[in-house]
Amino acid sequence: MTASYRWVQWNKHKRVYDLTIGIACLAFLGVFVGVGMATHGAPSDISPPLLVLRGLAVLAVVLLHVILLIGPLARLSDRFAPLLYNRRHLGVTFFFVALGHGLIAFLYYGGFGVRNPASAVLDGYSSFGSISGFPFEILGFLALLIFFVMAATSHDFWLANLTPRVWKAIHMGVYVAYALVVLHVVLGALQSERSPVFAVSLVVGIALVVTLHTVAGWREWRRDRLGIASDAGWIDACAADELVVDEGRVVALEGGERIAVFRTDEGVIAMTNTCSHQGGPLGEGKIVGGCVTCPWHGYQYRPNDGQSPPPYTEKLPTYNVRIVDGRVQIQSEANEAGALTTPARVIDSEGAAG
Amino acid sequence: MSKDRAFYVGYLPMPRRHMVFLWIAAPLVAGALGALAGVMSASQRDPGDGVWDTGSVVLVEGTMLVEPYPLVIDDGGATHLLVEITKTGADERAAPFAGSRVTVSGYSLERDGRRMLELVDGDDAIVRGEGASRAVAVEAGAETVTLRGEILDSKCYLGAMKPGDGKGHKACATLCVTGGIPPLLLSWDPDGTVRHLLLVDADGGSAREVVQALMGEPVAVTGRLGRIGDIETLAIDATSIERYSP
Repeated sequence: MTASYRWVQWNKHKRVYDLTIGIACLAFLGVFVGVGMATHGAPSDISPPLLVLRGLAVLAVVLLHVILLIGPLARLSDRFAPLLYNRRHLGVTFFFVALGHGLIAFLYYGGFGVRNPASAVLDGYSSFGSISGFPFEILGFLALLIFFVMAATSHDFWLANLTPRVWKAIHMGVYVAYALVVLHVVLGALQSERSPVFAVSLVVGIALVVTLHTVAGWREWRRDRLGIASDAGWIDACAADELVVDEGRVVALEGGERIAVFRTDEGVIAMTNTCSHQGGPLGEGKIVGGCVTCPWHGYQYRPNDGQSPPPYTEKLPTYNVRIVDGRVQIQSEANEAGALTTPARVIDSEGAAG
Repeated sequence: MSKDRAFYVGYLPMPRRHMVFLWIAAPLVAGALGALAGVMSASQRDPGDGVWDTGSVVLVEGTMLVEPYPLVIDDGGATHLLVEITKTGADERAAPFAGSRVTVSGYSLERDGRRMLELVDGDDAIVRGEGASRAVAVEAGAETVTLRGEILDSKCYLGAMKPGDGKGHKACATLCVTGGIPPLLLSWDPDGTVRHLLLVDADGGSAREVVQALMGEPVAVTGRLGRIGDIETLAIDATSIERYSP
């Protein structure tokens, strides 16, 4: 949550996460280079810069798939939440791996010649109308530009100043960049390599990304279709006794807006489902320390007014809630961000209030 | 869901449920990724057995030709292409010695019996030899053939970069030939025999300009067979090269 900006608000999990990323990347690269040297010995040895270039390329593609899979996996099972928590560091790591690949290609293939490297690598003498002649380097370069913008704006400073909507739109560019990377590989490396391992691995990766996104999206779509009857501006959400204390649920309005409904010790409250940080689904979160807590990065909001506890300043729109005949009803018109609401008290069948 | 549902928050201690999952999943994922790295690396295609020996200087004595490309034909009739360090041809330094008997000093590149020398720095890289130059075998044949293969820059292919062919190397190959490295057609006969043909233009001069647009791609090249020393040549023009899908 935002009170002031630091490069990284370190905690134990972030340190472990980053250390794991670093070790895993170096190990992956080490295995690739080591096996490459062992299996391609002199005189059929691969030039060391190319071995590293290829190792970085494979590592980058693997990291990109991991990054793209974390989102839907975390939506399908909260066991993956620890991977989501610090995903931005994984993204920045990926960018530097991809940059390393690009720089080696740029300097090794484009350098030492009579033309400048950019001209040598990017304009070539190729044909956009031919698979074998298509200048695939341009696709990788464009993807790298998108990844650069994403990495450069990954900090919460940019998230707050660009506004979450713009920030999110920029970072959805990852899917455009992913398509560019796939084409870069298909029109580049796959035109030269003869082993089916590379093509099969890429197809499996694409299938995983598409399938998991589809399944996660389908689950949300099915949940959103739970019909909510409208009654003079009040929306029927659910039976009050379906709600578990300290747990939330997501209720969809016609038009797609989602509301997070929570039951606290004081009663039932509602606020927008969209976390002010990165748009995380608050209704899939929990009450922790008396605050609604986002499942993505732990941003917190007080249940009754949607405000982050001091010194933090985030505010979310709240909704009025009432209970009629044991049913939770939400007023469809949102209150202003940070507006105080009164929890609707629930009388359980045993007579307990809350 | 119960009130005690394990809920992960990054800045709080990790719930046991998540911890157990990660301890099981992380080694499995690490093993799978390690295996993937190994399998992919081992699956890279063979880059060939070109050798670029930068550890010792080689001396070659013979007759210098500068057209179509700088080269020396030694007394045994073997052809040694000449290039500079980096991705440039040796035209400038070779020009004063055209037709002369010379001794050249350089670093050897060799693959499949094709030889190249990367000239050392300095004025003594090419020294005029004693005695008259010998007659060299330069044949401009009459037989026209169409061969399929890939046009390469000879320096990378012979060992300066491994692999020095294929789509990934296309930009480099184009840069090399633009800089003066002689272009080579790598072709395979139906019986699998590899052929290396030095590409020259219809007049027997340099074909660098002609080939630049189609380096590193599968091509069908039509031209007249010939020979310079022990290397075959193929005389082509701008209409001789076509892309094809293997």
